[in-house]
Amino acid sequence: MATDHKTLQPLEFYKTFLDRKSRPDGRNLLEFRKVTVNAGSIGTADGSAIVKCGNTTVICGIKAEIAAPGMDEPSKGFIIPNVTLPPLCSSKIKSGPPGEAAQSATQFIAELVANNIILDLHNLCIHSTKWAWVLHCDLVCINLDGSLLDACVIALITALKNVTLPIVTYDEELDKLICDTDQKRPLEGIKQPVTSTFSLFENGILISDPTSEEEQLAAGLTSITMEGALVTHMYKPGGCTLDEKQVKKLIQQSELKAKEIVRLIEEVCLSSIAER
Amino acid sequence: MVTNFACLQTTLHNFVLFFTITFLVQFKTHSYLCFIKILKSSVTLFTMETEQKSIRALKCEQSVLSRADGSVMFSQGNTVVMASVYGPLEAKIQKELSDRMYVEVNYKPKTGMPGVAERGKEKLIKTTCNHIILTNLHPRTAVCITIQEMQDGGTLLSASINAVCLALLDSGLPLQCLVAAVTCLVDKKDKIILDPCIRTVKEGYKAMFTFAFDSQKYNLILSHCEGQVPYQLFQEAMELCQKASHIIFDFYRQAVLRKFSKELL
Amino acid sequence: MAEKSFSTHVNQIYLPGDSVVLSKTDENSNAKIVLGPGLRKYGKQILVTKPGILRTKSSPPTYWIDCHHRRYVPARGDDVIGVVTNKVGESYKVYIGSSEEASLSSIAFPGATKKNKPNIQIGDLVFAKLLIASADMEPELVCVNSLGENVGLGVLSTNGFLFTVPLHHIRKLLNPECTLLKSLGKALPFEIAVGMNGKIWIKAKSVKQTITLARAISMSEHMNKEEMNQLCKKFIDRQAGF
Repeated sequence: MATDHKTLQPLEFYKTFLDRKSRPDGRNLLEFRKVTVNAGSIGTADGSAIVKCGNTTVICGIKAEIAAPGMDEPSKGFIIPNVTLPPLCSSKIKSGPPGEAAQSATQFIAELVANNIILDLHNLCIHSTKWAWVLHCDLVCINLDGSLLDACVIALITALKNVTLPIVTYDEELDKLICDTDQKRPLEGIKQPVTSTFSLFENGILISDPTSEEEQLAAGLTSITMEGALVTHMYKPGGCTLDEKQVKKLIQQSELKAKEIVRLIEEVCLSSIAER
Repeated sequence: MVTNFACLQTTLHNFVLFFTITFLVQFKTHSYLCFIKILKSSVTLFTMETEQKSIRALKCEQSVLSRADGSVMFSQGNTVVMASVYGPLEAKIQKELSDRMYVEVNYKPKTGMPGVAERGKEKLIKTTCNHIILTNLHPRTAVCITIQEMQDGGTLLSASINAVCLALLDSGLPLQCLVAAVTCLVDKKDKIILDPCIRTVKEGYKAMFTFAFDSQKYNLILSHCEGQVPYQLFQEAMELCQKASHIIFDFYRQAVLRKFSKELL
Repeated sequence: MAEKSFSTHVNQIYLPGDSVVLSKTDENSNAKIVLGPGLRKYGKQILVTKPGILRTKSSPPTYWIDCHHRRYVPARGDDVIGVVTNKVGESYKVYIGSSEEASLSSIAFPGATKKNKPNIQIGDLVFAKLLIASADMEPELVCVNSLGENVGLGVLSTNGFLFTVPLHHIRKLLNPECTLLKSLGKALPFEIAVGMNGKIWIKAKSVKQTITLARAISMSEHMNKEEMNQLCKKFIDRQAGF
């Protein structure tokens, strides 16, 4: 009976739960799913991480390269994010060129990078105007069940913290790069943004960390990225409207989540260093 | 002591001069509407103006394209965009939605092909349009919205959204409410500058926000941020933009009034 | 802007999202109130969906928004002009400017039967009435009334001229108070078919006359009554040879 109701009138079915302030998976309205983080899972990458937020799973692998920095910003390195949603991650994703979801997720991460929210790109410089590091950050989603951006940002930050680069120096007289592969050191100055996604319903109900089913039923989505108490990004692409009180509530909620996630990432990174 | 006094006098003189000049500039550059606003409302708005806390002059010309169902040339200060609306049209089979209208948005940059950044803008505008258009009244159809960037004077995103709203008004598609977008910038000294021009943007900033509000309760429809600030500053910026959105809504009313001026008896 | 609406509201500009307050008499009476185009009921409020001028009429109390359109949305009972684009089995597909092509059965003509069909080629113009017009269904045209009689609808001759004007201009031309077409007719006799979908078919004695008339009609879009009268006067004068 319940399954029939769910298939025929998914929104009505969902609203009966919301009216009782709960959700079909047993969570409270503003409760996040369990987050599992593993750092250094890919041996061949320079830095990697696997993150699970509920069912949503994202793998991030980082490959470092050396290249000449751009003419306009000679003392900055590059971070090139790429979010891939292969057809295996969800029944809604078709094979072929990257769809809108993947493009907008890539664009979102690229914006965070461009606004110096992930890492100060000056730290990637080897020698101004000559050489700088390029970090290719490939984020592959292997199970898409909503709140993709949350998982992507956690995976990216953990993987960056996991990156170790050989010490490279530039000899100006010989115009040569000297690479010391025996010694490796981690990246410095990685910031700790945490993204929290919320779904909004027409009657003003907010739920956090939506599953993909909830994302489809909702009237709007918003993603808030915070670093400590700083609002770094509030991404709300249209949809249902929000008033000031709701915005405040969302920001408070994402601040709480940010604290927890930052603690988790730190713990994971410490243990992965200890393993090494 | 004497020099001090002279100094004081010149500052005072400058101050007065500054006020007159700003007033004159306001008078010249701001639209008729804004000027009325200054006269009508109290000193608060006037001081707001002098502190660069108002939006730049708004101008628009409706029905500029003869073949489009709705079109507008819109300028906000030096930023100029053109928007056109075609619809309701027959939807392509793979785009057809059985219960509502499909909204397609194309953003054309001044030069070259649209890239990933344009896709991002398109998505923001598309989701905003999906909210304001009553899409369920025309099922299985499509509406095609095209935005052509003409001149970048900063705040392209908010100008595009405002232009699209005017073009939708021109087309007569059924709308739930109107939308007005305002951009503001937090400079390196934590000062909030409303509707910055391109020079201010290029000088560098801590954060730049674009907010869009609806015309019914002035609630937030869209938010887009670059950079980071504490929550308090964020809230201040949002409130300021919310106030400024009223000017845009008044402008919409003036634009429609002008269009119907012949029929209003 | 809900707070900006007042009861002395008729013939005022309204924008989407504004709420309309009905006049006191209409609000208190038990009679049914008709909400026309551009208005919708939302809870207890009446909200505007299109920008334009609020108009009303009494008995039955009706409210609607007079709005500018260029794209036609089919409405039941409208007389429209369409171009035949295809023949599918027993019916024709007709382009009437809406999102979907309308269908016109080959027996929906005066005196037509299964065996005796009208001679219609692809590319012909038809002047027809919308029998079915719903958002969820394909629009359907007929060229007869409900009794199967000839009511002046049908195929338009090929030596006329078809042009398109905005929909609000059509409404203005068809308004009984508008004298433009009559006064033009005094100067030059012509045949005209005006479709609610913004298409006008016109035919005068010569091609030159047809085109002048078409120009005059399209030019009058932004004119008020006086300017229209002036236009007609000028037109008549020119025909007389001044």
